[in-house]
Amino acid sequence: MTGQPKNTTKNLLISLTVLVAVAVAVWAALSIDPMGRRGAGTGRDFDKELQKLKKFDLSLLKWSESLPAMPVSMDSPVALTVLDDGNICVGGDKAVVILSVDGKEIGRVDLPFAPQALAAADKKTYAASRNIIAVLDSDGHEQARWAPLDDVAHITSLAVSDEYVYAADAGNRVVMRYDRKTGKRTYKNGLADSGAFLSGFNAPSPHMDVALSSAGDLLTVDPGRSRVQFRDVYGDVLTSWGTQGSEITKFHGCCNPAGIAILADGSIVTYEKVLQRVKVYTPKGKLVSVVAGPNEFSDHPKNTHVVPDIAVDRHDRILLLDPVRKAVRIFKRKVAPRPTTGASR
Amino acid sequence: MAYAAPDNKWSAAWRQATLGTAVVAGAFTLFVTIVMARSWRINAESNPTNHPELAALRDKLAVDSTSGKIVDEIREKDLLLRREFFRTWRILDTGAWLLLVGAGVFAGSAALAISARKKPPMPAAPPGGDDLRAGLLGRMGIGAAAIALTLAALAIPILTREVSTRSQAKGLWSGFRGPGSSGISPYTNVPLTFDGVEGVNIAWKVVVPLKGQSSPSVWDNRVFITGANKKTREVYCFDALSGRITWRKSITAGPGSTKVPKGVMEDDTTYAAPTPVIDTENKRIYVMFANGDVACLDVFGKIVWQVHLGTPDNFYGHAASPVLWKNSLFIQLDQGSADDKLSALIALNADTGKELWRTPRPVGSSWPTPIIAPVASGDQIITCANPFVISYNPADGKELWRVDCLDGDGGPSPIYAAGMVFATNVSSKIAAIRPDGKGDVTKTHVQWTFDEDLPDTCSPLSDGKLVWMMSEGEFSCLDAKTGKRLWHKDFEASFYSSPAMAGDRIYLISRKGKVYVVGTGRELKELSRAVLGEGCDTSPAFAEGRMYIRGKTHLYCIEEQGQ
Amino acid sequence: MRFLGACILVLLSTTVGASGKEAFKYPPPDLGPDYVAPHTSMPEITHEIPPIVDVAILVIALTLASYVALKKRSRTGTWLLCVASLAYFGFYRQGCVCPIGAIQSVAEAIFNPAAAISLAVIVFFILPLMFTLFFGRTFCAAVCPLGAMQEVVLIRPLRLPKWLTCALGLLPCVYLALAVLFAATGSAYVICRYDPFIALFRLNGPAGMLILGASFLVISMFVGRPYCRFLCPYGLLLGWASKLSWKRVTITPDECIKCRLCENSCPYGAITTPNADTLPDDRKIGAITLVCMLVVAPLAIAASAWIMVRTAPSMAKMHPTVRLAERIVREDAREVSDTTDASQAFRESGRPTKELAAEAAEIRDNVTQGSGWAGAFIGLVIALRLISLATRRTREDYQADRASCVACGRCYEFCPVNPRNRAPQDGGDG
Repeated sequence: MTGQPKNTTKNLLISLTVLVAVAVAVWAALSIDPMGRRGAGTGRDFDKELQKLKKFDLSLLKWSESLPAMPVSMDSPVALTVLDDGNICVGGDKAVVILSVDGKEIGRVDLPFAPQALAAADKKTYAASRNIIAVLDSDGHEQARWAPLDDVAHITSLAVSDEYVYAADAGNRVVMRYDRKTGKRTYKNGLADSGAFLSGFNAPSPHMDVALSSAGDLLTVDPGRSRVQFRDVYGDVLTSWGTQGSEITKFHGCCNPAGIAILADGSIVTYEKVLQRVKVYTPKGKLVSVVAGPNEFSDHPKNTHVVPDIAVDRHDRILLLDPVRKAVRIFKRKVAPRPTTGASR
Repeated sequence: MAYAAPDNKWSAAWRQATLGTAVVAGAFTLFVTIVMARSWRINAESNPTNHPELAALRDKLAVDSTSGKIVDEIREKDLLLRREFFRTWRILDTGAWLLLVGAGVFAGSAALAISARKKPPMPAAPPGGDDLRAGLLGRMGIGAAAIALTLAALAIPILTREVSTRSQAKGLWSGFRGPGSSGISPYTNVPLTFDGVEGVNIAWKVVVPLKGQSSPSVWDNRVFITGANKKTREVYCFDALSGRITWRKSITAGPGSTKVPKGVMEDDTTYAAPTPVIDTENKRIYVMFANGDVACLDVFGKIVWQVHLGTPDNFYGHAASPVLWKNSLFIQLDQGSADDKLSALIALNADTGKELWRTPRPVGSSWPTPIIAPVASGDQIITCANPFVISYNPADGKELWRVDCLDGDGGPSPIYAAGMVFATNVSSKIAAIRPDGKGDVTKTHVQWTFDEDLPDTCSPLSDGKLVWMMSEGEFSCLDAKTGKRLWHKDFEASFYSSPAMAGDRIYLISRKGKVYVVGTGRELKELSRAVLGEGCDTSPAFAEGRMYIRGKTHLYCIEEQGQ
Repeated sequence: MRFLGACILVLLSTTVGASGKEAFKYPPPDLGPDYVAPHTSMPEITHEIPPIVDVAILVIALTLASYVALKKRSRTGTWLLCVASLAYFGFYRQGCVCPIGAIQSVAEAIFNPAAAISLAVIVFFILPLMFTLFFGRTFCAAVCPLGAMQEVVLIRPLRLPKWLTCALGLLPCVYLALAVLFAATGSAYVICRYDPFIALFRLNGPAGMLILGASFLVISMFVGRPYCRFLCPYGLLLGWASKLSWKRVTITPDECIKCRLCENSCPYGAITTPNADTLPDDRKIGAITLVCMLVVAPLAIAASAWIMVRTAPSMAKMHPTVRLAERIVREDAREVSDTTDASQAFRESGRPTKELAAEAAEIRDNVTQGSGWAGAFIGLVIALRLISLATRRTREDYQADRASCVACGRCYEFCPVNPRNRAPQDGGDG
């Protein structure tokens, strides 16, 4: 084939084509990203993306943190609840600590287990750790312990109504209901049953919250579906809302909201992990305000398996147990959001 | 596949047929490619999962969940998009096969057409069995390849280097006058104009609880500043995004802390004039107050250590900011008069606050912040006070050299640029000093001096080629090599804030909060004017796209606001 | 109608689920009372061809290729088989399993006893090598889909200068060394990641891969088999095997008459010309060159090993664990302000950072050690090439170069001794 007389122009043209093709091939090969910098592994773009997501409309920021926060003398505080008398009960470290409204430590009781969820009503505090639920008196001493759940169980949240204690078990992805008097598990119609009260949750990580609204509705979070659900006494869903998304109106990423609490007017406070945000929604799911944005947690190491517990105290302040600062942080409504004192555009 | 004889009709027809097929197949392939490229684009654009219009509608629905109209709109749009998406998807699917067939036919027929034209081989020159030459060429090739591969191997570490997403690489504004205490911003993308009154290009402005002349320091997404009055001294950490105070910490370092220092000009120097300095590596900040309290906090507001250095006897109030070098924190604690022999340069262990060394200084009260000059022979601490510029070895505090060139109550800090130290003060001169001397080098190492329109508070600025300085409104530009004044301009205003440079702009902030932006050229060029909206005596801090300016009562975050 | 509207509203504002179960993430649209939502099902796994079939087809293809190339000496036969292999191994089996990629599985299995390897992969790796030991590179000629792809698009080959072929000829050994290094340390399968034609075989793939494939096709139109000659790591192994082969392609079935007709027939530059008639080069120069090259050899090995060890820290980043560990360090040092999916997952696992760091350090050590050996190997190949260039072997005939001949059979058509090429009146029977 090459035996024919050489045609230099043609060969030059072909060589050029080949050179261009080689250049394109090298470029294409380099664009294949073996180290996964773009997105999949250690993405630079992903960094930028998350940084971008942290921004939101600052006019929504209608809460301010009242300083200083209440320090908690514990190594790993995880559970928070507000007692009937307005005092604050913090659990963790195989102990509960009781703080006064102004943050002074007024009591401390050691427990044989590390409480991971707390709830209180009628001078009784209920503390749960993995598969245990214990009843504590108003001073924090253990009075009774209910039949433990199986080993898979991982109780992440408790809620107390007049009759029942609800326990969210993220391990089995169910919600249990206990009779407060007997400590027996009950099913739909109130009969004793070994099964779960509610099931079918999608909880890929140990964050699943339950709460009771002022109207007596049971609120559950289906974190895998980013839904907050209102349920009647039978556990049937009345309404539910929540969309996955990074926008401020939505719940970011997987398994959010990680926690909820309820304000006096019935609004729902939500806490999101990863892109950490505390927000307030109407009971119908409309975003009302932002309590704290991701930058409020910028000192958190990227360690998300301990997430803050949130609660609302009697003054309608939002309490946030910050496991990194080891303190209960307090957020109050801004009195009059003026552009000069707050943020302005 | 024998060779085609040129006079063979049959082979001519064969050649024409194959050539024709190749042309048709090539055109077909090209057509399919174009159709596929178009479909690919439409396909990407009509993906319903991330379509902006649909997302906007969904957002609307989230707000107004009862609107049937929006629901209908969403359904309609979604259906249209899906239809388009799957239609183009099918085109791409079929197209890939068509492309394959087309390309195959093209390649086959082109090869046949070429082979039909093939002439019998006609070896020209006799075979050259020149193995020596071939070997040489081969060795050259292998050598070239080896060099190329070596270069590639050396380039790999550079190519795979992870670039920090944080701005640390660029140099954070971690203390008074930023990187190298130079007043030069590594960030050039800051707004040219802004208006603190109208809110133009103001990301936020917030009240700083207590008064102070300390300038902001920036670390990551935090802005640190101090404030104080007679009784209370506080450190503030602001969230850079929202401007909210993330934490505030009051400092009382020891029993002596409560003693109110005499003579502090409450509205001028204030009780909190030293700027916080940040140890970006160990996540710590160091602060100092006019009462002699020095403290180290972590960036989360926890006090690591605090010491009270004694109440400074400074007749305007202590103003020099602490300076960090390796593991030492330097404090130029000049007080009283020279005869009192109270002044000293103190080095504290940055981890513990324990004193490492203390070098007495032959001067009285002063206000300039010392700088660390990275001189070729080693780092030096350069201090200014009436009448000496003194350089010390930061490791042990031994004096290296001094120049007797200053006079008066000195405010401006020295700067180091292009291997020269520039020190100045009102009622004396500006001196360019070569920092490689020993002992008193007044006569030997002063390159040039200039003595008109000297600053009394503002520190000079230099890019290595030019030196700028701001006296009472008179802004001068000197040649850094010769000290010759190139131009000067009277802004008819009073200035305390030191000039700062970002890219080819110099920001000058007057005491009344008027901001003048001038060019960095050898000729004066005024670029713009901006308004802060309140008095300002502090120096600006810079970050990516941002400027932080502390006014009399507010801290401003200035950033280009998108339309 | 109103009832229906109310239904829609209820469906939209609440989530369906009689017993608290929610089957859908978003509420499903109301498509009328008669509509029954279809049951979501996973698509069936397509019927896998048992590996034994692939192996059988490989054996048949190799046998046929060797028969057609060596016994039948038919270019057309080789070409047809080539197209068939391209269709089956390339487009039908989508380029997997292939002996080139099998290098990595085998390397990983050798260095990491915990790594699983299927028998089929071992067979795919060994069979072509065995056939090459007996019959030369007939695998390359008509079985390898990558080779076939380049073979069929070759239109007008350029003759590459000697220095360029020598230079580019080093790439396969670098590629082989890196591929084995990455596979052995469990870092990555680079050969597969950079397979130029895989996206074309699958008629789909990331834009980068498609562009890479297309550019290789364009290059292959004018440069004979660029991947085989200048990249393929398996080709290097086959080349060595071919040097030792029992039988191989010969240009002429009989005695070479040195007509020189085949001289330019090989698009891959694999025909060596006789040098017996030319005067031997200056022996002294030859000897000096050889001695120089013998001296250079150990230096090349050492230098190459040193360079590779130097780049080892960067090479180690190919391993996801090392990348994760480095990322965690950077996050902890607050050098970066955010997390990645991988670092997030690691944090959530609650595994101690020290453990990860230790694991990464071990991998880094392995990579460093491996890099040294890989570098030495590259250096050795360079040294051997230099030495072989400095030695003179007497060649009587026009021969197909043992290592680089891919047995495509193009030269058969040019040889007048070949009975097929004789005109019918000469009595040849084709």
